[in-house]
Amino acid sequence: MAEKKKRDEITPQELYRSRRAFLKRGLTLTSTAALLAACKPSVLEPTPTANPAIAGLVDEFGADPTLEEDITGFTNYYEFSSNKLKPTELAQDFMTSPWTVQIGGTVSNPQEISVDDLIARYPILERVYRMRCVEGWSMVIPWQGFQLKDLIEDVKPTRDARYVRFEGVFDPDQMPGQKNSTYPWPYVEGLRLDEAMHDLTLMATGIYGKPLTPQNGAPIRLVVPWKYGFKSIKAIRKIDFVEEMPTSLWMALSPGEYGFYANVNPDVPHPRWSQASEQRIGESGRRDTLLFNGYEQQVQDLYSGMDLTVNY
Amino acid sequence: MKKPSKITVISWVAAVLPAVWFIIAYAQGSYEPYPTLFLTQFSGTAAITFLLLSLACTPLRTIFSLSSLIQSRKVFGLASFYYALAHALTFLVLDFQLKWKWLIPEFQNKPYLLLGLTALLLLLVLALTSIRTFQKRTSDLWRKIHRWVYAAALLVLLHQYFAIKGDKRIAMIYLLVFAILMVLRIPFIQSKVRIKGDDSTKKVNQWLLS
Repeated sequence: MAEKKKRDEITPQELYRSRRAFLKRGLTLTSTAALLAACKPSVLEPTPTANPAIAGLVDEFGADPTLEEDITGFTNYYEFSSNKLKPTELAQDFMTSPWTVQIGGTVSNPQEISVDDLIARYPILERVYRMRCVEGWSMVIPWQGFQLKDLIEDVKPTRDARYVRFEGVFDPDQMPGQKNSTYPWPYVEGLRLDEAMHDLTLMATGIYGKPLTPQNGAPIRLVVPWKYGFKSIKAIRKIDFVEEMPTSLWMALSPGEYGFYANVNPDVPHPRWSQASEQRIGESGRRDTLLFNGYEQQVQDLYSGMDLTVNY
Repeated sequence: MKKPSKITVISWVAAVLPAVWFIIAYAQGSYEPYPTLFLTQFSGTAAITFLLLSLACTPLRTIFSLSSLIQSRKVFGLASFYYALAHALTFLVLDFQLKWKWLIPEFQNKPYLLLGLTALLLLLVLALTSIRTFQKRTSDLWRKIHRWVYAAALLVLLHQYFAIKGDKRIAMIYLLVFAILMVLRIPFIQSKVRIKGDDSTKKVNQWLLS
């Protein structure tokens, strides 16, 4: 507790930004060396694309990223604790390397691959996404990662594959929260194949230009910014392509509260938390929650003709 | 003004200590970056805990022949109301800034909020009628009104049950404690578990009431 800082002692946003600017300058200076080193895509270099969500170090609405200290200090990670401040300490010694991800199911090219190889194999993008937790708070997070689409194209799902099922790590010795057998561990999440193939869907490996911290889901996690945060499963061990809609951990626990789609939607109330408004971490008051978390234009076609109240 | 008895002072200290402990940690920034969340949880848990402690006084008083506990009952009941008030104000003012466009739909689509609100209003009536003059002048009415505490407790426990996500065992433990406290009010059960007081019990009582 003695190490906890008061709000006004936290390094101001400007310092983070100048630090980042410094890092970028450094990258330009060493670019010759980088060229010699066979040009692996830089983690810090934003990849140019038409997608407005990755335009720079603000989201497309101009919102600054949440402080790094808050992103790494306030996390929802029931594998460690239901208290959002505790995973930071409890996850400190969590072993994230070596780490392999097993990819299988109805694919013609199943594989077991290390996270290091995944990072080397695919272009790493920088994306500033809003993260809206189902519990009514939100952040803006500068992620680094690769598009899930890239991986899916490599493993070649067969015609039977309609959904992607993700499974988190099960290691109660390292994850004290998994000793609580109220929850059907390991964590499971799922996406429809077209959701998984969407340009916005990211496999994240870093935040703020640094590798993911254990409490943020190291070494590899999903990020689906138009869905509630719990869809973005952390510390992934298995990815399976399946025919049937997977049952996620939260669906299994409380189907009336958590649906498969879990798209951010201010018009579909949750029995516990406000979905019409949210507390952006670092801001003083609440703000309105946006349909699909503000990614309506990019993702609405995925759900055309669907009743979002039924398919919550 | 009459000097308060030792049991009253001890009870108030016990009631205020959790708040002091929380406020110190709060001021140190221990609940950043979202202190409102922790204030909501803390004040709610404290309100329920002191309500159950208040309800525990009467059966414990009978079972252990500790008549002095009657004074703790009032202190814990009032403490419960103050924590509940802080809880509600945190939600309405700190969290939602009294913005009715957000708050009204919340109360419309979340029954557990109505349970909590009803319980708070019951506790408010109990707190307002807890002054000694009211109790003395209208002892029958007072007795009737203060039976509402059972309804308030049940509402607040259900409010807690629905407010907790995932693992609800803690809420079930609170409900179990409430059930045990109710059972302990049955005269037949009381006569079975009662421990007869002796001279030392008497002395403890006298000291606490002094």
